[in-house]
Amino acid sequence: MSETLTFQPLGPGPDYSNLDIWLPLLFHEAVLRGESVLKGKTFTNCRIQGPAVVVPISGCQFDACNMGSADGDMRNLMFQPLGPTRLTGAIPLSDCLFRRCDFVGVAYTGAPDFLEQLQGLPTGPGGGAPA
Amino acid sequence: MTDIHDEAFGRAMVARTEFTNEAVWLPMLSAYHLNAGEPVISGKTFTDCVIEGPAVLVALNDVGLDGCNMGVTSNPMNLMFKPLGDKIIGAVGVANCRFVRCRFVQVGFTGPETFLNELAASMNASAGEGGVGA
Repeated sequence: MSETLTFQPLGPGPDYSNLDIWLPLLFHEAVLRGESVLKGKTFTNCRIQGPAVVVPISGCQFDACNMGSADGDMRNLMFQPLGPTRLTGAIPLSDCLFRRCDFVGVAYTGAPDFLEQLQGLPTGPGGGAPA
Repeated sequence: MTDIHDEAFGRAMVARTEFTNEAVWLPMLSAYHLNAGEPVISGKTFTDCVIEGPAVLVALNDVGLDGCNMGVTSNPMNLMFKPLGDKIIGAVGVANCRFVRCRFVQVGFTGPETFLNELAASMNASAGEGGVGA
């Protein structure tokens, strides 16, 4: 991978509608802007793609979303962080609103109450879980 | 310049078995494999590479870590995630791969509890300046 790589940037938003959002790229762009968290974004009718593990750290809403194909068990989309302080490898989200989005290949981690809340969601059509 | 969305480039990356002295963006390499119908990154040796996230890596089978810096943290458990279900979704699957003297940046790890405990123990044993090793 020594050649120069190019890709279409997604841009800083903060509003994204009817787009395919590759989360690693969106976060990479944020890091290049000096940001360490995806903050204050609104996604409407987007397909949010991984592979990625996200950690909503504050004020995130998932409105009528398909949280992903969980194979009938929401726990398949969840990871419990084992460290006492910080998380490494997960994409932090803050004050983000997801409206009618489809998540593909995305898993979730975070505080026990968030995971418990997520666990209680019914799995939706096609194995997805609406929130 | 290379268009990373070019299918031929992606397939060439999937076919490679040796990566040396390079920065490897793990989510991208995983995406190439997924696009090629391979859910797992398999059969590769990474030597003196920087393995970049954000990603959570799941070591599925026969993954060797030799002289690697696993990341900067005061506690190796900060790099670890326990899967709550029987299946793992959202992590980057790796099998039959060797990582030799690689540095992991923004990469977490998951898998069976025994693997996580062994990895944490090896990191504790080799923790040094600027990161924890394995």
